[in-house]
Amino acid sequence: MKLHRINAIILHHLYFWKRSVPRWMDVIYWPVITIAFWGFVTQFLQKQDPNAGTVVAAFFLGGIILWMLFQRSQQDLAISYLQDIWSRSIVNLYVSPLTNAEFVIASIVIGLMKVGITIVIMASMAAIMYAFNIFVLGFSLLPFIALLLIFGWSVGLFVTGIIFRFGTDAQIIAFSLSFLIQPIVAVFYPLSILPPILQKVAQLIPITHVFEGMRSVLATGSIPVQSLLWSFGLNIVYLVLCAWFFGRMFNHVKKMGMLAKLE
Amino acid sequence: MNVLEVANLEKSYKQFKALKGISFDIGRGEILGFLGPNGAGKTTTIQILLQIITPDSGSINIFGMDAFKNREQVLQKMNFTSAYVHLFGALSVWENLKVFAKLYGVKNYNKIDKLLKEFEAADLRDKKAVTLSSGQLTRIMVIKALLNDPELLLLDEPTSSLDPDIAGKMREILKEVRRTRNLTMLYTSHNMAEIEEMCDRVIFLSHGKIVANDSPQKLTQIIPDHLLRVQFKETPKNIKEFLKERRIKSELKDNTLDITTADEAIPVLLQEMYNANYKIKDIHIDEPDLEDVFLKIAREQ
Repeated sequence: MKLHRINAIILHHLYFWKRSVPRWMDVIYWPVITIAFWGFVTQFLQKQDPNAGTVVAAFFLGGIILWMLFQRSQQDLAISYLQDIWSRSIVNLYVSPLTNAEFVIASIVIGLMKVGITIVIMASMAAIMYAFNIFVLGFSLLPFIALLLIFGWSVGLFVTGIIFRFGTDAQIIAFSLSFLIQPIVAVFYPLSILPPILQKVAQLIPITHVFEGMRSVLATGSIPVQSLLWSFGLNIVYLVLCAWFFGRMFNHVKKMGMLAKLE
Repeated sequence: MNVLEVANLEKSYKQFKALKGISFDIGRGEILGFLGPNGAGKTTTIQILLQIITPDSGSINIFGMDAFKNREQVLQKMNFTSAYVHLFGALSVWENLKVFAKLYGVKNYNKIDKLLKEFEAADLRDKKAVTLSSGQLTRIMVIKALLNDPELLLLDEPTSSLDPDIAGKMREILKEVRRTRNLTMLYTSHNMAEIEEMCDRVIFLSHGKIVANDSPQKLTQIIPDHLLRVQFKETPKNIKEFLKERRIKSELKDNTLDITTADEAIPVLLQEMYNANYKIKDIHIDEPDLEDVFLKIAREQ
C-alpha cells in the first residue's frame, strides 16, 4: 500500500467534489432539508403533548442525524466508484499500480470529510432551530458514529460489488438500499414496536443497536455496553463478508473482461 | 533481455475462444506492432497485459518478473493509452494529469507543463476534460502515458482520431522518446503505413492465433508480385502476344498496361519492351505494402 496513491485518489475526489453540484447537495442541501423537515415534525409533536414531546423530539432528531451519517458513508463509497464508471475513466485507474484497498481507503477519507461537514450542519441546525443538542449523548456519540460508519462502508462495498457484477443498471441500489433497511433498524421508534420476527432480523443488523442505544442514553442516561459490543462484533462479520464479496465480484468482472466495458 | 515474454496465453468468454495459446516477446527498445481484424484478440491481449482481464491460462513475464505476482511493481513501470479510454471529465487537463502523476509517484509537476508544451497542448491546460475534442483527448492521454517515464508503453490506436499533422508529430515524439530512453512499445493501429513507419516487428493476430510474426519488410515479401504500370506514347501493337509468349498477366486500357509480376522480372521485361521498339512514356511500380499483407492474411483466415 502506497500513501502517494491514496493521496492521488483523495485529490481526484476533492477536484471532482469542488465542481459537482450533486456532491455539494449531498453534504449541504439534503442534511438541511432533512433536519428542517423532521424539526418541524417534532415541534408539532411537542405541541400535541408538551410532557412526552421533548423526549420524542430528541428521539426523532437524534435518530435522523445518526441515520444521515450511516447513509452518507454507505453512498459515498459506492458513488466514488460510480463517478469513475460514469466518466469511463476507471480503466485508467486500474491500469496503474493502484489497488482496491488504496481506492477504498481514499474514498473512506473523503467520506469522513463529508460526514464531518454533515454532522456539523445538522447538529448546528438542530441546536439553533429546535433546541436539540446531539452532544447530550456525550462520549457514547463516538462509538455510535464509529459503528454507523463501519456498517455504512460494509454496505457500500456490497453495493459496489453488485454494480461491478451487473453494471450501472444496478446503480439504483447505491441510492436505495439504505431505505430498504430503514423501517426495521429502529431509527425513529423502539425495536419493541416491530413484530417479533422482524425484531429478530433487526437484531442482526449492527445499526439497530446504535439507535436503541441512543434512545437508552437520551431516556435514562445509561449506555448499553453489551448491546454495543454485540453491534461491534456484527459489524466485523459484515465488514469481512462484504469485503470478500466485493473482491469476488471484482475478480469476476476481470475474468469476464467487463472492467473496461462498465458504463 | 526481453522486456515482455508471453507464453501460451489463453482466454475464453463462455464458448468463444478469444485467445488460443499465443506466445510472443518484445526486446528492450523494440516497437512491436499488433495487427489483426476486429475481434482477432488484440484488445484482449493488451487488457490481459494490463491485468484488467484475467487469462484462463498462460504466463506473462514483464521486466523478468511474473506479472501477476508482482502487479504493482510491473504496472509502476508501464503505462497505457487508448483512443477508447477517457479522462476524468469534470476535472481540468492539469488536474487530471496531476492526479495521474501522483498515482505513479511523480513528484515533479513541472514535467506536466513540459509535456503539454511538447505536444502543443499547453493551451488545453485549464480546459475541462469533458470539453476536449477526440484529437485533443488523444494527445492528453499520450501525455498521461509518458508521465511516469514508463519502460514499457502499450498504445492502442494512439493516433486514430488525430489529424495527419498532429499524428505525424506524435509519431516523431514517440520515436524520439524511444531513441533517447530506449522505450519499449506495443503498438496497435489500423493505419498500416503508421505501423510500417513505427514498428520493428509486426504480429498478425487472427481468430485468437498469431498467424505471422516478422519485420514489416519481411512480411511484405509474402506477396511476391508487384504491380507495374506502363504508359505508352501510343497504343502498343501486338503487346498481348508479346506478353503471352512470356506468360505474364496483364490488362491493357487505352495506352496504359497494368502488369502483375515478380520484382526481379521487371527490369528484364522493360528491357525487352525497349528492344521490341515499344515507345514507353512513363512507368510506375507499386510495391506490396503491409495493407496488402493484412488483406491477404485476413481473407485467407
